[in-house]
Amino acid sequence: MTTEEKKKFENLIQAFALGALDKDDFIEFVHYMESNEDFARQELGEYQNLTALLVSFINPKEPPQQSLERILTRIDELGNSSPSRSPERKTISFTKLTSFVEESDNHGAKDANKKVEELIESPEIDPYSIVRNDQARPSFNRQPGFQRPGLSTQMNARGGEPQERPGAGDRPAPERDEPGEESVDTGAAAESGFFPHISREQILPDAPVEPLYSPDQQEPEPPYYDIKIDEPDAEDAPVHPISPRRARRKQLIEKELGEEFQEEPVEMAEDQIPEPLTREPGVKNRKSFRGNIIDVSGSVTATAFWGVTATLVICFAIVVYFMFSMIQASEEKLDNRIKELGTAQAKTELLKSTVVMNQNLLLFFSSVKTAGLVNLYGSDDFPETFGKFFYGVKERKGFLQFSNIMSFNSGKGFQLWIQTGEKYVKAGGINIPDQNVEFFELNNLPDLGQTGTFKVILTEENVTGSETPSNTVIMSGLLIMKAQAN
Amino acid sequence: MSDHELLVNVAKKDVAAFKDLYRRYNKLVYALVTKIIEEEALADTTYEEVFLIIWNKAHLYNVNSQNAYCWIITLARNKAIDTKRRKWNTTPMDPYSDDYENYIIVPHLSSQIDPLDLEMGMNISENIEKALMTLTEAQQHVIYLGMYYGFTQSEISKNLNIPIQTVNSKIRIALGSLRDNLLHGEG
Repeated sequence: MTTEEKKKFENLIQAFALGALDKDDFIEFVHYMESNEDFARQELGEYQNLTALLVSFINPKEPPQQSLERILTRIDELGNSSPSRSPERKTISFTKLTSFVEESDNHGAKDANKKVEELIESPEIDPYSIVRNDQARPSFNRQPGFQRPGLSTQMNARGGEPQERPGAGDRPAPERDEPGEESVDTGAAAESGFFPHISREQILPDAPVEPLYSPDQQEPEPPYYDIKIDEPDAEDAPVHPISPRRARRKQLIEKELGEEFQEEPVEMAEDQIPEPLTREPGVKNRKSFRGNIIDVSGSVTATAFWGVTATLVICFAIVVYFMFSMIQASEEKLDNRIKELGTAQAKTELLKSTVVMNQNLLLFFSSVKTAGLVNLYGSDDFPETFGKFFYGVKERKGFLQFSNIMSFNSGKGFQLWIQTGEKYVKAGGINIPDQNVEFFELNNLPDLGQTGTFKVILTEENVTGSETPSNTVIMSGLLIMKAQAN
Repeated sequence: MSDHELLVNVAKKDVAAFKDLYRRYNKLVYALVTKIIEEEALADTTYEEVFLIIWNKAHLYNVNSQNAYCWIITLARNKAIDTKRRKWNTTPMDPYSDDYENYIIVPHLSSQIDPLDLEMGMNISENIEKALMTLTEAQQHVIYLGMYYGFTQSEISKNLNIPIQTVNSKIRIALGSLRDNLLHGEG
């Protein structure tokens, strides 16, 4: 044992006591602990006590009332039915145990183990009964290559003293008189066995109770059974290698088919056909049914060929037509969807611009003390156009809001004019219309503080601007001002 | 009769001794099993199987240890954890057999373990609880994962996303601190 090994396993003591070692570490640890005298057993004992004591402060819980009764019932059953269970803890390596199970190619063994596992999980069933039943048949543990695990006890391997084992006489007498229980073989084979054995009495009720043969005896020859079997003579046997009934049936079928051939020979049918198109369908079908070669060089075949081709072409044309129609319908749907999307997008943009406009209008209102409003109506050329002109008298600022000015000629814009007397004064710079902008803020308005009536017009002008309004009036309104006291 | 004597008699297939032992340990074992296995029906079955194993494997109890308490509690815990793993673990496990039970379920108690029985355990349970409370939350958690969840070191490592060496170190420090606290009366 190296120092490193010792340190490694001493570091695992706490995890082992806690039950937190992985399988491989667990196997190594147990092996190391059992095979090394100078292992820190005192320390391990302390930690094992410590982890067991961790449970002590859990609040005790009352188990189900019937538990003890069920346990005692099962103990009673097990005590009577499993006398051959090994009383010793085997020291076989757990890896060997696993490999034994895996290497066994006997599915019955696996099934038996699985059944035992399932039955162990079930409190109501004796888990060993299935093993006994399995052993009543040719058992997996009697297969060639079966290796029984070693018999030395774990306590011996641990270096401990052999413990006093309760003998067969110490065990409580069976309290239940179950059929078959007395016949369980408790002999030498059972003592060393992995599972309890069962006597032949259970397998063959009429056979003697003694073992069939001891290991040093030869297995007796199987008994001769005088059984007479009547077999048909060779002459009477059917010719066919199949059953007589099937052979007879086959003969009848062949005979029937042969008669049909005789009734309507193929050559006759061919001679009697005057024209290919008038050939009887029945004759044609029968020929094809019987596997004769069909002549495809005749005009009938050519007509059929063209007929089929024409049908195919028509079908193809119909399919193409339907596909084309479907594509067209899809395109229309797509266009509509695009339009809808465009409309939705336009609406969104309009909403957005409206929000922006209202924000600017609010800003305008917040920047003037007193605001006036003039409605502007579209001229005859722009009947749908409508606008609102807000203005601050003292601040000489304006805010023009309009709608439905859809398009302008290239290089054109619009300009706001206010008529004072006979003269139009520019109320703001040239503005290039934009679909997304439906308002303009105007500065440098003329003085509107005096009493009077002012005409407001919006005209189309060149983008470079104009000193006089053009004749293209987009919309106009009338502003009536009254002089205020202060 | 002490727990140890009862268990020795159970090994001799003394039903009366088994009943006495059952009456002493049933509540604690049931509490432990139900703490590990939350599903009631499975816990009840496992609980009964624990006592069946005690009956069948009592002969594997080391009479020199005189520590029936540790043997029974560790056995019950091993069985409950094994059942829990078989029920919910996705990784394949070794088939349950007599040898498996002898090797994995029946505890491998140290041959130099101090004697302990239920009465002694109950007397110092309060100290154990106090000593446990002195541990850090992480240390308590690691012990809890190993003790009641049945997590192995690698599973704790995966669960807490820390290296397995760190898990081992935490377990050692946690149990070491617990032992020191008990020995020095801090609990």
